[in-house]
Amino acid sequence: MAGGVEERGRPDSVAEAIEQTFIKLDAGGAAEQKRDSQISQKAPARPEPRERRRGGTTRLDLAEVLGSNEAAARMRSRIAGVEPDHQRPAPSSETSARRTPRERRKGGTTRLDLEEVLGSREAAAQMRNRIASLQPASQLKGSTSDRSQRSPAAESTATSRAHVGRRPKGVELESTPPDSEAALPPAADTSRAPLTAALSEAASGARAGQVVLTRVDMQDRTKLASMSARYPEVNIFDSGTEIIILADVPGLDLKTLAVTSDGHGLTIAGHRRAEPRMEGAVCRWRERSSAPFVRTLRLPETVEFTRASATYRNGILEIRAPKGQPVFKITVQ
Amino acid sequence: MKARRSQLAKVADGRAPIGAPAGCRLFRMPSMDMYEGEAEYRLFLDMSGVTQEEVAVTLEGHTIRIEARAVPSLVPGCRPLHVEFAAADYLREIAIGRGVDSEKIQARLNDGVLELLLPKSKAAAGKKIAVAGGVR
Repeated sequence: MAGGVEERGRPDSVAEAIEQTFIKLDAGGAAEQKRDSQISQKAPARPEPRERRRGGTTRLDLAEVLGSNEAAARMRSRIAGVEPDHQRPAPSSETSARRTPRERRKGGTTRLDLEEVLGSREAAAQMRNRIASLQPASQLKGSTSDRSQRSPAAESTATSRAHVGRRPKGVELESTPPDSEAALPPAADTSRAPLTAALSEAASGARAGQVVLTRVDMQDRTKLASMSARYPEVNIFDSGTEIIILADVPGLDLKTLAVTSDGHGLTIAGHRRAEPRMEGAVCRWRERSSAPFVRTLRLPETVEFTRASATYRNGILEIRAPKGQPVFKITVQ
Repeated sequence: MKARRSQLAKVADGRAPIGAPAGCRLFRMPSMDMYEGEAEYRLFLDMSGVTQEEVAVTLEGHTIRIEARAVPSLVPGCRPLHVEFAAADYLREIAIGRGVDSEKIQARLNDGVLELLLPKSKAAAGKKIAVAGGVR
């Protein structure tokens, strides 16, 4: 996979490979085609590098098919508008062609050319333009690093790399730009929504004057049902001037505790201490939870969280937040 | 609404289990983890709101009885808005086998977690019996 990604980062060599493979389509003239087919009948007899055959692709080198580097250079110069390859010396292009197939095969992928898949060169060109229009920035930069060429949208989701790994490995389009991952349907990434999205979604159900208690998983929403029983229980009190929140979190690791507020609600996140590892110990009975937890409380009154204080004693977390400005009347003119 | 609030207050105080006859005490059974090491068993029990003075661990025969009095989870003079856990007393009894050296049981309370250390008895470790070869 890594070799493939690196390869796709070099558009010039990709175009060169396409040019070499589909030389017959580009050559145009009937005489040229005849000559080419004659030579290509001879071509299989020539010993090819072993690594080229391993992937099962039938890639022909231009110089090998035509018999000499000079002929290959001439043929290349006849092809208009594909790649200014005639400017570079023919032997170097040959060596690069010899070297690259091996990198490509390393991942065990079977590569298909766009033109082969779509049936015609025009369709392939259209498809290439469409792909290029999806991610114009990456085409301009053309750096070899896969990560740096990701679009910001793909970069923001930490799990996009995991989705790349889940893609079907067998078929890859050779002339796809390096960030084809970004062109995947975005639905693939929403299965693991970020925590903030889950929190805001849970908070959106709150109505004014209502205590809404939400239990949101830190890692994965699919775990929500199975883990809901492990969330800390809370009691909320009103002392007249303060809102007091008690949370039942025995064995809390205070280093992991985070009490945060977005101005409307209060979020308690933390991790209960895992028991100290004993040498050769086996867990025989498990009822307690040491999983990380997040719990968001939506409070019925305006509270000044900036002046809130919290203490942790005997496994009970106590948060005291003074009430904010009371409701005031707006005069209608 | 008022009745519900007073009921909430009673539940939070641990005085009135809902639906229980008068005079009943409400207990919570603390959840427990048990680890077995090479030389001892370790038990961890969640007992939040319990201080060191309020917990009593007793051994009666082959049963460890853990009883604790919880600090009320009701803040005095405050109106409860939402109650999920009650400051009920804790009670749990754990039967131990002969493999535990009951003389050397230790207990420690830290951040609402009670840790019990039950050393394995040497008698239970087993004794290797040498097998002698027969002489004819």
